[in-house]
Amino acid sequence: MSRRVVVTGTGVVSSLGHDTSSFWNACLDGRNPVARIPDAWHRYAQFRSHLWAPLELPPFEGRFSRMEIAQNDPVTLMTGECAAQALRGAGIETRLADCRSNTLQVECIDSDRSGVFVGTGVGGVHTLLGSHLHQVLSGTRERLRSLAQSCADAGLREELDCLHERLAHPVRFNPFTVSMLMPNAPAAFVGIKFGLRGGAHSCVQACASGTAAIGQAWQAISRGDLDHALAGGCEYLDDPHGSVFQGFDACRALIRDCEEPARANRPFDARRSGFLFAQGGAAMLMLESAEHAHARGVPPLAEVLGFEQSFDAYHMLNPDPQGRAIEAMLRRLVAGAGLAPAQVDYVNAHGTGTVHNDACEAGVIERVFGRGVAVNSTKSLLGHTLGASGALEALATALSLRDQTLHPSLNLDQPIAELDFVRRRESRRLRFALSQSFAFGGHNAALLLAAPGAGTTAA
Amino acid sequence: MSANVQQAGVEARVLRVVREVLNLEEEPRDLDISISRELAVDSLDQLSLFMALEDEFGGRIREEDAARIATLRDVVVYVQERMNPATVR
Repeated sequence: MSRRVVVTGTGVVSSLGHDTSSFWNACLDGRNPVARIPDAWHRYAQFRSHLWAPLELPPFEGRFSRMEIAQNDPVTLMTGECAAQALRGAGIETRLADCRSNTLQVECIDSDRSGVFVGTGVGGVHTLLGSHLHQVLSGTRERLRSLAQSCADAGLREELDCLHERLAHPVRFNPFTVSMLMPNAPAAFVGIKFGLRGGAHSCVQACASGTAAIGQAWQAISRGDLDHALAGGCEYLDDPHGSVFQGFDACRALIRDCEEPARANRPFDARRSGFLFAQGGAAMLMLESAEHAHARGVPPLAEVLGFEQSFDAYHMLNPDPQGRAIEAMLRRLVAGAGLAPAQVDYVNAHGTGTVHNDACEAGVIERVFGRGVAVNSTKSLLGHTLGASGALEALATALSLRDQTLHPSLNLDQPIAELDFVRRRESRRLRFALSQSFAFGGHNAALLLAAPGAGTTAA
Repeated sequence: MSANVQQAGVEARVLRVVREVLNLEEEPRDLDISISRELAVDSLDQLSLFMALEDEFGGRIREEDAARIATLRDVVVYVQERMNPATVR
């Protein structure tokens, strides 16, 4: 038995807004959070790229208890916030289950048949780096201060004070480092927080993590294993020295042409020079069987028609230039839903802005769908949120289908292919759309979505 | 500031931190209750509670000292004697 699966609620934390409405309006307006990297980072390294998309975290106080905030990495709390938004959006109310733990119980759905699927690239690296800094630097920093205090030479004392300041670190080694670091923490937290006992699954496939997590949730509901699932992706790559940024910069993945920050992020443009590193983000979708949504009287935003994944078996960082595994995956996905490629109206592309990805992806889109399909890159707005990106892009795709409107793909002056790139906000008739992600390691994943009602006409 | 006024201030701040960290509906009224029994604080909750007290008052609660802190009054005394009650968050 294969059951129909619909999206009934959404939640988002992003550099373009901390709720679905703000996020989507900013996308449609073509807003771009790009900024120069913090000045303080330049004291620790020389960077090739000088731009990023910073994320201002939402205030967690009031949303979570002091204990929850102390024991969870921001990436986990962001995911919890998105899950809460998605449940509210789907009309699923909660009541307090336990005051001490601040856990909730969902009403009107069967928590034993409700699961959690969360993708992330690395999990709580922010906490690990903070605890690591404390362990390595705290003793040295204390010694520097003591030397500075006893130093009679004013010039040397000033230099010691300067070194002391450069070695700033968190005040403690966090005793919850392990449970804050582990990549399964966001899924586990959401399951615990809302008492969802249908399983909490973590998906770690770098930039395809969010897409794969939503796909696995679709599979579970479609098979009949679950009736409801919260599914999405998250990432938070904050550290005080730009070390994570440096990891991507050192392997030449990031934007090199930084002269005009607002115009530097150029997916599918001939002058593209890498991807825009995003500090983080998260998005969660509430998926449920169409029967359950109908019984609850909740109108779907969109329907998920299918999911496929494939693996390049080619290179750890570069996609197979021929895009063979990607092409096969997309053809299987469309055919599996009973559609012809020409019926797909819109592709929300992976669209990173790297030379290799965009060349490969544009070629595959043209071969599979022809030149008539609308194409845009949500990363041209948000930058690359890595493990969260697939979920944010699935969200943008679902909202595009709901509103029959596409957001612009920014800075596309000289397209590298004769595709129907969307360069300004456009209203279109949209029935079927794809959201696709390709990851370091060679993991590929794609979701096929339909506008409300359109899916019933697919085979 | 007199010692009594300072002690009352520390007590109030300790009780507020305890209420916030343990998500209690109201602050405990008795400083002599056992943290582990009456407040049902296990070893992991205790880590969170002591981290919050360190953030509130500055300084560290050393592991060997933590084992000897059994009641809320023990906390207040420890803060006054070993931490920095003048710290303002």
